[in-house]
Amino acid sequence: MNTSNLVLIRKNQTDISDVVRAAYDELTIGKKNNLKRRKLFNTLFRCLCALAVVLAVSVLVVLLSSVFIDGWQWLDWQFLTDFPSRHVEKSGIKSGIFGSVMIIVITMITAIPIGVGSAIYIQELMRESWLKSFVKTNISNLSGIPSIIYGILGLAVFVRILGFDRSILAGALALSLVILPIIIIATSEALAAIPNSIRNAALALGATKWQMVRDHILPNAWAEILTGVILATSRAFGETAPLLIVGALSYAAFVPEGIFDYFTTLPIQIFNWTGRPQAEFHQLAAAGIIVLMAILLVTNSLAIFLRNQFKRKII
Amino acid sequence: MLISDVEQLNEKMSYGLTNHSVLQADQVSVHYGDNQVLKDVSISLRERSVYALIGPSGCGKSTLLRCFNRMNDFVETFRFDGKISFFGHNIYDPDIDPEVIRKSIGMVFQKPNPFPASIYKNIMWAPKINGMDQDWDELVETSLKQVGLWDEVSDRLNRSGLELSGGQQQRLCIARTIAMNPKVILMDEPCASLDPISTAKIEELIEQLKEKYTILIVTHSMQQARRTSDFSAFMYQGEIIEHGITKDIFESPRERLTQEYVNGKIG
Repeated sequence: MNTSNLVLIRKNQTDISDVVRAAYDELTIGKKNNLKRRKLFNTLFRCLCALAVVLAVSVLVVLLSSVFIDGWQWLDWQFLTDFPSRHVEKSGIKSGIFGSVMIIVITMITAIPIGVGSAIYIQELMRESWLKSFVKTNISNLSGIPSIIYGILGLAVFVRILGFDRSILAGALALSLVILPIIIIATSEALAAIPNSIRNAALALGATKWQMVRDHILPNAWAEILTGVILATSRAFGETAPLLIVGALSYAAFVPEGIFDYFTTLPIQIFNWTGRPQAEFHQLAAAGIIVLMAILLVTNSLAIFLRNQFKRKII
Repeated sequence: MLISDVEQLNEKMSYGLTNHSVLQADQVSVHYGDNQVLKDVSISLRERSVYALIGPSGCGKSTLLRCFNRMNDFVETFRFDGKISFFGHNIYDPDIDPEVIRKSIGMVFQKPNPFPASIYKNIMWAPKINGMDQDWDELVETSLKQVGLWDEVSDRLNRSGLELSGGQQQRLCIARTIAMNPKVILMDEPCASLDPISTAKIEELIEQLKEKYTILIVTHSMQQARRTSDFSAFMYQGEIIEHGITKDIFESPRERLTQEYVNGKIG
């Protein structure tokens, strides 16, 4: 080994120790400098998020438990099968349940095909143009309009002009207007989530757009579309304002027999009872709320079950 | 052109007109909006041969490929001038349905895109919606055998096509295309997202498929073009600079640009 090699080795050694020292400095300086602060903020951030969850959940728990404490005693078979009455002990929600279920069924029958159809047209068939973005923007705007406005529209168009009177049909159509934007937006998003490669594959095999949508787009989007429909249904179920404007009864001691009958719904019945001065009626309202929530929970769980059945893996 | 016309042509073809030009582009110019991407491109594809389109990114190879099965029709700003003949019929003729063209001129994409459905349905869907009527079991078997996938998947035809590996998925896509019994198969960088072993299998497959089909392949890999194709066309900035027998293009190109590209100096 000659001298130049030795020099080289020594040089390398000093290089290595320099690197180690620099790394050590960096580590310790990092500790002194801002690592502690960053860790502190990290912990703080976690605590704040946890606090938000605790707040939200505890408000819900307080609300629910007060409803249960108030209403539990009135919840029996008689409450479900009797019509409302002046006498607290004879009062029930039969007309409300029937009205709500009929309204929801008709609302779904009208809103789902129109909503899903519009979304398919906008998302899959419409050419890119200013008109398309105009339509999309305004559908988003429509979903933000207070529902009472749709009630006024329903009163003018369905009750007066089309002459449906204050019927289940008029109420259901008004509710359809409220939830149409929600369904269209949810469906559009579900369709947009389908990768373009699937569209290309179908079209390149000689499919028409209809064959592509029917066999490949919709089957893969159903799960997401159903999620939007579940949300919309829940919204329609709890909606009161547009039905009041359309002219739902606040007292109905009969079960509607057809779509042109007068009606009341569960939320309206609850709203009516909370307005009474007697405390017993407030407890009845609480019992009504429990029933409303139970129905919503059951339908939502069913829909979620169906959605999971539909769910498929895409890419 | 009706399906029956195409079938008549298919019959004519089987009488041995082997050197017939299957697809011919005449002075094709394409604009996307104000942007011209193809300038007076002319090329003719003979039956049962493999053609490679090579050239740097953005030179218009994929655009040209997609002109042949009218997939560019879905681009809003697409404008087409010129003529593309398929057995003498102009495929851009107003009374020709693009769906019929796409049935006869199949396409394989860069990224394998099997449908999120069973392997079986992946194969039989297109023939079914195109109105073909035959024994689906048999069609699925022969199509998968042609791409060498039958032995690998015959016991799980009802499983999703997405459960296959990337290379298997791409062969499934090729099987799906040949199940429609097309005349031409367009391939848009079919091996770009595959590993070397899968790539080798696809290249081997192309070699076999050319006995029945005309194949046009866009590729970024000059080695692949050299290995798989009989004829090559070099494209640069929307024009075909040179085309001819693959060996000539790579070993004795006439144009300076071609020479620079195949030697790796540009692109």
